[in-house]
Amino acid sequence: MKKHTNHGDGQQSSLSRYALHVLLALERGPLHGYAIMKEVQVASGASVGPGAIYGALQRLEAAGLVREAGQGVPDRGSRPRQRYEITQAGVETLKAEARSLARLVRLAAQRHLIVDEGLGQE
Amino acid sequence: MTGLLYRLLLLLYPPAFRRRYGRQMLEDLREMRQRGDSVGWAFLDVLRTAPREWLDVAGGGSRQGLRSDWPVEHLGEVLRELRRSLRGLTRTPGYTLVVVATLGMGIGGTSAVFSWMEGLVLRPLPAVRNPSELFSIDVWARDGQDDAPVASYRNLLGLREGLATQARVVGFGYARLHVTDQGTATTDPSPDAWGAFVTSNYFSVLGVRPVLGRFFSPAERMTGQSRRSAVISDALWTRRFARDPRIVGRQVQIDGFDFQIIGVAPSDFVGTTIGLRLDVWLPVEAAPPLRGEASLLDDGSTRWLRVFGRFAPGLSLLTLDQHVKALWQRLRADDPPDARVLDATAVPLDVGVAARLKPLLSILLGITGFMLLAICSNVANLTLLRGARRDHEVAVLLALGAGRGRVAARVLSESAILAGLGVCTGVALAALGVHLLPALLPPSTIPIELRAPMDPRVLLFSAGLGLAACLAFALAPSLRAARAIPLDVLRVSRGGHRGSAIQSSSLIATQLALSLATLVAAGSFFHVLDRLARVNRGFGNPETVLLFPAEIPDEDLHAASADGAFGRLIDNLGRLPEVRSAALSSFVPLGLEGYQYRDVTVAGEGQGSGGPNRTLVSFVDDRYFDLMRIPIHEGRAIDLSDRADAQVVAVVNEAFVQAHLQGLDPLGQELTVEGRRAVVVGVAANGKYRFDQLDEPSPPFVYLAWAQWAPTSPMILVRVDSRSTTSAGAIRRTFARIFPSGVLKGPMWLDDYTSVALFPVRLGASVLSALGGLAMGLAALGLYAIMAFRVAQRTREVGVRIAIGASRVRIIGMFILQGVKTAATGLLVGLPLGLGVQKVFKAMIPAFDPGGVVVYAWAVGFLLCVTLLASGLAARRASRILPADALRAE
Repeated sequence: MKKHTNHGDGQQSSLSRYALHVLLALERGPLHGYAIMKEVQVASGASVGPGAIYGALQRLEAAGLVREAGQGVPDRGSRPRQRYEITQAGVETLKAEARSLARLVRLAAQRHLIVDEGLGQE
Repeated sequence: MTGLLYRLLLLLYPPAFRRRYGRQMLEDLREMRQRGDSVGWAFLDVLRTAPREWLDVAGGGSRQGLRSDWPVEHLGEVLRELRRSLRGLTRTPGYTLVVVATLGMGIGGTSAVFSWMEGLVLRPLPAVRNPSELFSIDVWARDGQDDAPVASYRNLLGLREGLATQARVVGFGYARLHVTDQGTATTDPSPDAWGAFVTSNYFSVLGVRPVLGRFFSPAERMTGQSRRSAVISDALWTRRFARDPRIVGRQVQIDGFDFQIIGVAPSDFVGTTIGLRLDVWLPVEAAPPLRGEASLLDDGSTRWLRVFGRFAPGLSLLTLDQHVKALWQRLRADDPPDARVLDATAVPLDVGVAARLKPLLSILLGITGFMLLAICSNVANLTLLRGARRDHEVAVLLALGAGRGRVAARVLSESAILAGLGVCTGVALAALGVHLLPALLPPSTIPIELRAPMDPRVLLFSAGLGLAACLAFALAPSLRAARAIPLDVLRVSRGGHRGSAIQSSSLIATQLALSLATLVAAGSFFHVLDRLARVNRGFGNPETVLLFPAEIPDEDLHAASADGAFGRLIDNLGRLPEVRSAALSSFVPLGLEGYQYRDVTVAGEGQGSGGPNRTLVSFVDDRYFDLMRIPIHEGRAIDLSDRADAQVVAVVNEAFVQAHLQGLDPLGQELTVEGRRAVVVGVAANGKYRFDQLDEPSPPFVYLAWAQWAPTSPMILVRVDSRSTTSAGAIRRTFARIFPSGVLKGPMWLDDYTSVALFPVRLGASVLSALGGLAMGLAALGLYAIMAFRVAQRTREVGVRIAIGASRVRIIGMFILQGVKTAATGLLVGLPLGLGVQKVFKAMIPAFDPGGVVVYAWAVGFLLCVTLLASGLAARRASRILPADALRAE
């Protein structure tokens, strides 16, 4: 079981973990819901369901960081699916967030709270 | 299936979210299944994320959304909130207690009453297959005079043959039996059991299956040894035989005869009369020796069997009734002496006295349902008030930078805790309530048993409703909290929620009205109970009379009668210490059993006027009138001179004189009773005889001399010095000395025995007053809560008033007046409502009597007391406000 840190008052400016992961997944190109979910699952190591993904997508869309990208070419036999892509603002936000996290990680490593290659994990 | 379930779960999301992503989520689920991913997670995910989307909607957009995935991620935080809320609730124990108790009582009460309804009225015979196909055949007196709906064995055979193609017909007769078992060393403290003599198709027609052994097979000819077989109830098997698995085949003695147990009935089957628990079933062929009437199966005039049956599929009760009526015309022609005055009808299966509870239970159901709503509103009320009071706290939290989600979580988690506790209390109370019903039964040695197993569906429904009320009303303040703009709330003074207060006081007024109506109905029931309890039953001081039903084998009865054994018994009993007197009678009034009707003709009355009258009779000895304290108005009672060889005499009651000897001197008149001439020697005071006619005028009644008629097994009545008597053992020994082959049952107190008649009314009175009291208590709590809220709202105003010299009395008066205004509204609605409830009861229960102004007076008085108390307590709080504190509080 993962123990989550408190994202509350201290880090008001940062994106939520899922939102970041979704942005990161979309950065490589448009994806539909299921594909995003699989990407996030692999990247975060946590179990994520469709509800969490679409919740994050809805909020990212509202913030202008993600937009709908039309329906992709369906896989064999399956129906066309709605895909999502990252916007320029999304890319910028992702970069800024990543920088800030990297700073945090460096700082933590300097204080020997984590081993340096532990990037991407808490 | 999985897809359907998921589709249902998606309903948990806000509609907009569902419209936008629902289809895609279903596609995702399909893909997950195609690829062999575990779909369980997707289901859990809906439950975790749906509240969050709602909060987003409530929060008015996604301002917070990107920063936190609460509650998706912060399970730990949710738990922390729950712990914090729990601490908060323990700091306000009053509020917590009231909400939990209110919810619990609502859920518990409704579930219990629903379960009673289900157990007694909706599904009274759980073990019986298709009860809607069952019917009773009531055999009634033609001339309108009431008679017991029972048939003779010959009637039964006629009905059974005549209806062979339309229905399968069953007969049974109740019997009080004495079951002993030589196999067990310990003697059962209560060897008495109620049983029934049944035709061999009884169990197969009912469709009941044995848990052990077998039942009588329908085609079985009950001759020789098979006449001595018995089926016992699960309860008796447990009570007497400790559920011995080798019970089948065991020999027991029933009323002194050997019987073999062939089977055990299931635990949910105790006979077809709800409330009367049967423990033993014997073949009808065993009845003649046990009842001491050899001709029971041949004699067309002894009517002792109740008849029911199951009609063939496709038939309706109506057509069956036509068949029964037509058949009865034919039977009547074949069998003139008895059939001439009787009629027969097919009616839905008579399940006994409990069926009379239906109107009462329907109304109870209405009241509890209504109460559950009131309780929901009460909880809503309290939650709203607390929410309003909390705005301040929430605003401070928000201003200090707490996330809105977290604030909402705190409010919501508190409600969740309250709802959870309330539901738990409700379940406990429901279980208690289901067991309470039997506890309300009249004290009696008759095995009255009302079984109402708790219905889990009902419980689920009430609990769901309570939970929904709690969460829904918690959501309102929680949504408000999430949207609140701190400065606005902080700027608004504490008196800002006048709207919700007005709404609340109308809720309270509704509750007061409802509880008033319930109390009025309860009052009426008490009035009826009081009236019935004071009905002159025609006999005196039943509380010190012990009853012992005796069973004496047929062959010994005549010998005993001839050598004066009964006289010796009564003399010997009379000489025992603590015994004042003893007497014999074939019948004791107002019980469930023993009613005997005989054809009585008055000499002067022409044969043209309808022939013999079926008249209730009783065979009594010379001590009976004295012991029962039945006054003799004219002539004399039965006395020692009325021996077997003397002139046959009769004592009639006043109603008999009125009905048949109007204008004549009753003394010396001649009657023909069952073909024998009897001279009227006395007129006794009227009394009540049938338990179902306690409220009606006395029917004609004839007392005949015990010694002058063929003896039957008697009831032995013993008047003792006090209730704490220890003479029962000595009485039994005396009886056993004189009748070694006889069995003495009981004892029971005469007033218990005669209390059956009061049961439905007593039940109504106790349950309604409990509910009414509960409703009033809840309303009072609500009233107090709202008054306290008003006091809190007006703290500043009160402080100022006191500061500028308002007296405390004036302050108290001010608040009490407010409370009284609310109560007056309740009164205005409640009084007509009470009148309506009374009308409904009157229409459903003939004996019901509203009871007039007195009932209203005390209900209204109670309401006013409660109002004064609730608002007075709150007002006292107001009067103690110190001006300085009040001003500082702002």
